[in-house]
Amino acid sequence: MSPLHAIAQGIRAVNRTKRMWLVYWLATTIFALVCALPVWMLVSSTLGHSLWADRLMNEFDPQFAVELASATPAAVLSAMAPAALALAAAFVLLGTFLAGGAIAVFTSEDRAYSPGLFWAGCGKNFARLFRLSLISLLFYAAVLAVSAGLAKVGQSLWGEGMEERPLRVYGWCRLGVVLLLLFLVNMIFDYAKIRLVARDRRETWRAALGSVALVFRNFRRTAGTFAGVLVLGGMLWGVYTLLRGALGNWVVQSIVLAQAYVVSRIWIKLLFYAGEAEMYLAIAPRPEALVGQALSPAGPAAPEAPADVQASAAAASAGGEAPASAEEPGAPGGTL
Amino acid sequence: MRPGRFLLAVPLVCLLETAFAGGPRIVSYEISARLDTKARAIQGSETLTWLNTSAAEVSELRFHLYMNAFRNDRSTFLREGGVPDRLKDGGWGWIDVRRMQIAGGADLTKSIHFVHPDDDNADDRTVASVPLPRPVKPGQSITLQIDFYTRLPHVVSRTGYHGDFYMAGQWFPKIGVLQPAGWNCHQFHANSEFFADYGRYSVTLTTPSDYVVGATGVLESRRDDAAANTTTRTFVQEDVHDFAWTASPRFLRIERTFDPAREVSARELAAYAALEGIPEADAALQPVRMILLIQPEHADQIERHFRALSTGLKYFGLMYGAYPYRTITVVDPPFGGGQAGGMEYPTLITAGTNWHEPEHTGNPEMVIVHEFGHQFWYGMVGNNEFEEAWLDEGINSYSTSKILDKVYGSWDLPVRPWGLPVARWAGLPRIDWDQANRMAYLFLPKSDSIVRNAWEFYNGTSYGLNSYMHPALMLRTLERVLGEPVMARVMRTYQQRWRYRHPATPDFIAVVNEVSGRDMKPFFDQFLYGSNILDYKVGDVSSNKKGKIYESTVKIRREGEAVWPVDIRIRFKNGRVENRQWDGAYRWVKYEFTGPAAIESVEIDPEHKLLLDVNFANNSYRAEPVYGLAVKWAANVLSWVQNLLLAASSLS
Repeated sequence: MSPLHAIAQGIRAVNRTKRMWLVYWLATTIFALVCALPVWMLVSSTLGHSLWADRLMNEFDPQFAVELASATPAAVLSAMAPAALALAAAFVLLGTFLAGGAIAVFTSEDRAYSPGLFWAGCGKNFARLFRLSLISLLFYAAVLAVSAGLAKVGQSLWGEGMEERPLRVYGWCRLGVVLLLLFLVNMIFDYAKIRLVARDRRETWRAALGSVALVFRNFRRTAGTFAGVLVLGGMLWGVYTLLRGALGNWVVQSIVLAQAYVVSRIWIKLLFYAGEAEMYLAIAPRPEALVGQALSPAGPAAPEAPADVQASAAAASAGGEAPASAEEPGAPGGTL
Repeated sequence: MRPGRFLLAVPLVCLLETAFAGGPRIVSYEISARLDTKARAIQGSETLTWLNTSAAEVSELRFHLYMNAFRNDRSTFLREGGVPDRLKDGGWGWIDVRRMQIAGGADLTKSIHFVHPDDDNADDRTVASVPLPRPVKPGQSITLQIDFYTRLPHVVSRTGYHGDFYMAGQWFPKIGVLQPAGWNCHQFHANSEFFADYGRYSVTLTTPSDYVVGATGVLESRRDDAAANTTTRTFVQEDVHDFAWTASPRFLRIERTFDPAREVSARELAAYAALEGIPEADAALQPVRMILLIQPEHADQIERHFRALSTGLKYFGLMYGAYPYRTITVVDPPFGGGQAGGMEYPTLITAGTNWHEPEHTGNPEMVIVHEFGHQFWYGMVGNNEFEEAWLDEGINSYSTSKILDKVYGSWDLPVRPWGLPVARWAGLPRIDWDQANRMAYLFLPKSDSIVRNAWEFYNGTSYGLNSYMHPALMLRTLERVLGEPVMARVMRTYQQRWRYRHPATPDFIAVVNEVSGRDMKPFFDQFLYGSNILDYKVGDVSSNKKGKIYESTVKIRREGEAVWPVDIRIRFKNGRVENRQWDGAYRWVKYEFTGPAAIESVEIDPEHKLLLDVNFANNSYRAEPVYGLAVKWAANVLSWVQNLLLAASSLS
């Protein structure tokens, strides 16, 4: 399967799950309202009866933000960053929860959304996906360490030099490398999630390392799929930016456009899962024994070794990609 | 160098003061210096002639040895500001006075000792005291011969070396300023600049031949020594109070002439002359040689540097009188030499920019216009920067803000990760300098008053805020209170009256009162010497209908401690407008109206004169509430947070 084919299949799948978009949009919006509602109340109370509001309506004046900050008790300000982090962390947990359902839908036979399938997938996969998220933090930390190391190298080479250009160009290159590594880790863990859900497995380390092997052994197709969706996301952002510029101060239209963009971001997020799920299933087809079993809401976890063996056999018999052993760092049914 | 042989004892009308209509030329320096690039050091000898213009005999001289601030970690400067890693890594700097002798007379070297007029730090060696065997009588002068060795630090706080770049500021023994109360010769502090008397500098510099050199003053002569591979240049400048120079083989040197005939239209000249109430001939500018020493990697910004410098020459000249010197040199420090950037010296300023710096970021334009402005505020009007930094930094920030806003307009917010113009890409709002100054002030509006010894502010941030942005905002408020034409005349009068002299804050206030014809003492007492904040607020507003008549009430409150008369404008729904002025003396005031229409809006300070008011949001009231803004902003925040959450959830 080519990346374009996977993306096309993914688009078809995502477009069949509009109720799932709604779930994601509601979850995102409820969390975001925690920030937006205080802003609404604050602005209403401070500027609702102020003539300054007319001028601010046309163009935001940072002086207002500073006035507000300077009038806000330091304790409140200092509590804002931890609160924001807690909010983000809670949302990441929620995202982990929802991912289980979304991937369950995209790896089901007909890729069709049903509340039972989705919510059962959410509940059933949460613990394993959460463990996987913790593992992914190690990988992200490694990327940050690489970034810091590269920065140190740049400093030692050009930091005390007389020209800025080499360090600046190097900085851009470093940024590019770090972004690529972040994308790579992201992609690897997307496949690990898909693998855990599609195969109904619990070994998260094994899934993570197996996905590393899968991604690198099928790099053109996995990276192509990831990059293709990324480009689509970039294009949507470009369109949104153009439209936003054209709308100017039209409040209602701007709100509608902004929410349309949020929905498009959700669509892209789901497309990552869907496209990658298509690619994964093409590279390492699901063992027949698991079809219909792993995806059943209350279905038991499948035995590990037979699943791998069957997956290998299925892939080989399909004449397709490398058998399951190809995605394992060790031998089939290895000890990882 | 022409070493003298005897103690000069000449009357006040001496050679130091010949043919000069400004303040007295109290000092004359003849310095010969050689740059040793291997040792990162300057070998120098100095002949200093100092004139006692006081009414008392002087039996002791005091010298600034600024470079000793970087001698070790026990100096007052480094105790206050912390020790940069570069110094710890072997980049210490210092100055040793190896010989000090009265010309043709006693050797004073052994009697040199260090004093600490500002603190009890016995380890600080930035001020030297030299007792004299015979006092210098009023009106007499003394000539000293001084040999010194200056080891430049790895560039820190405006001076030093980086690679093959050298910026020599505060590099020679410099005599303090004698005032009626005695020597004004402060130690070098982390939060302070300088103070010195006016005079003549003739400096001969010897550097490797491949070095491009820039310096205070006019290049009088140049001599190459092929055998030694050195070049010796002599720079001379009168009516300045400092001398700085720079050298590097990397500089691109570009020279152009500021031509007032081309830069200033007849209409502009007439407009400024009318504004300031002076004949057009007095407003006329003169040609100036502009020298730019720029890094090769910034060659694409040469035009931007010259445009900014021309902007400074033009507008500072039109506002305060023509720039009187023949040259102005702009130095662009290399990458890593930024500590030398953004600094003013007489006829030489240091700027600073980045490789491929986008336009509309403020660099290098802001720093060039600002540092050039210091030729007027610090250079020509030489206030004591140790004790009243606002008089140069604050007035210059006020002037710079006006000019930058007029010529360049608003700037992008400083959000440039990896040097990329992200603020522009993201469509963040742009700000002008009035906004920027006010925002900075709002962060710490009560930290300190403006007039204070530089080293006695609460911290470095408060020093910066109360020396630059807060006084700039205070002066913009004063301008709006007095009116622009009056303020223009105040500033020009103050500049012209105090050129080549040392004014203090009361001198500025006296000029304000004189030119405006008003007693502005209450303003300055509160906003210059005080730290109370100004905050007026619309309190309760009501319109009650009784029959066909509305009985309306407006209450205005004073939330801050500062008191200043304020205008109030009340609009009614039938178009009627009532204006009131409140003295602000009590905590609140009530106005009552009756009429056929209810109140539509109330506005405090409708002409926005009082920029020092810390809360604009509460300065007005409208009967019909506005919901759109809250909805718009809340919706924006909603979508930003949604997008951020979606980005964060990629981790899940």
